[in-house]
Amino acid sequence: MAPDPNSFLPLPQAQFHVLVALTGGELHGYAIMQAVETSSDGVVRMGPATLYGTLKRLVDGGLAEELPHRPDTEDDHRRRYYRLTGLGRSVCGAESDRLAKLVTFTRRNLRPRLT
Amino acid sequence: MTSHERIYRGLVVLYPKRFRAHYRDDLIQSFTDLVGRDGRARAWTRTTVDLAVTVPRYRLETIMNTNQSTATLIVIVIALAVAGVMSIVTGVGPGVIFLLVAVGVAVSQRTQLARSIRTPGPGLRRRRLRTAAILAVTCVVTTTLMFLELMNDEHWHGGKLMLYNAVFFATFIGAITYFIVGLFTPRDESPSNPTALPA
Repeated sequence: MAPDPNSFLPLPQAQFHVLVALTGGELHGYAIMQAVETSSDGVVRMGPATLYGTLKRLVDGGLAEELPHRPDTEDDHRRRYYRLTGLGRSVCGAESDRLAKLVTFTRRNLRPRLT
Repeated sequence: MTSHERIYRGLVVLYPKRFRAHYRDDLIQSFTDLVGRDGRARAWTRTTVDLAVTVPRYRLETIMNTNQSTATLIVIVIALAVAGVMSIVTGVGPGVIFLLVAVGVAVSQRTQLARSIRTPGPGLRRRRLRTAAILAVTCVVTTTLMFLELMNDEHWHGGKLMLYNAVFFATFIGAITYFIVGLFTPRDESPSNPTALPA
């Protein structure tokens, strides 16, 4: 039986950012670092070991997987590519929903007259 | 390979063996990409912070890993305890932190540590804790004697001081070791008890 996506929540910040980056498609390590930086407006800047430690956790948890082949033949053949698994996609969606509810709740409390 | 890459490659050795065996090339490749995009200074700033945060974290995670062999675990706990005591006594380094980490590792891995303790007969836990108490009392007495002598005789010769220090360290470390081991020895050590851990 597949694990419940909600059992992974709340996701650590680094894991969530990497999952979000991988929603854009198959990426290698450095491209994930860049995607995380872009998606967070430069606020989250991962170092190499933080990234690969996070990827290791995601792969061990079944949320991401390493591709057996290199999708871009012109790219450096030593680069390893990663992609989301079905579970990873569900967990990423569940975490997004959780955060969206949190944002709604926060906005309602901060600006009670507008809601 | 540039000199910066060589330095980073050398620093990657600080990571746990399994992690670096799997990700060494990827780490170096990412570092090279960072240097190429951001320049050496910015890449090193980011990577230094990364190293400072992740090396101790991944090392500690490896220690906490249940696959860690019990013998290694015991060595780590004792080494941390000794380093802590030495650090507190000499006033060099974060001794309390060493001791806290030693206790943390011992507590988190208590089941594995308990399995390593032989339980050949009843009353072992009591005997171990009693030994710890005797060693602690000896340690206190030695320290008191040392201070009394220091107050009465200002002209200490090296041999006497070394002897006192040796007794102090031996009894202190022994007391801590016996206390931790005794603490994790099962209360009921009867061989007929089916729940007792195997010797």
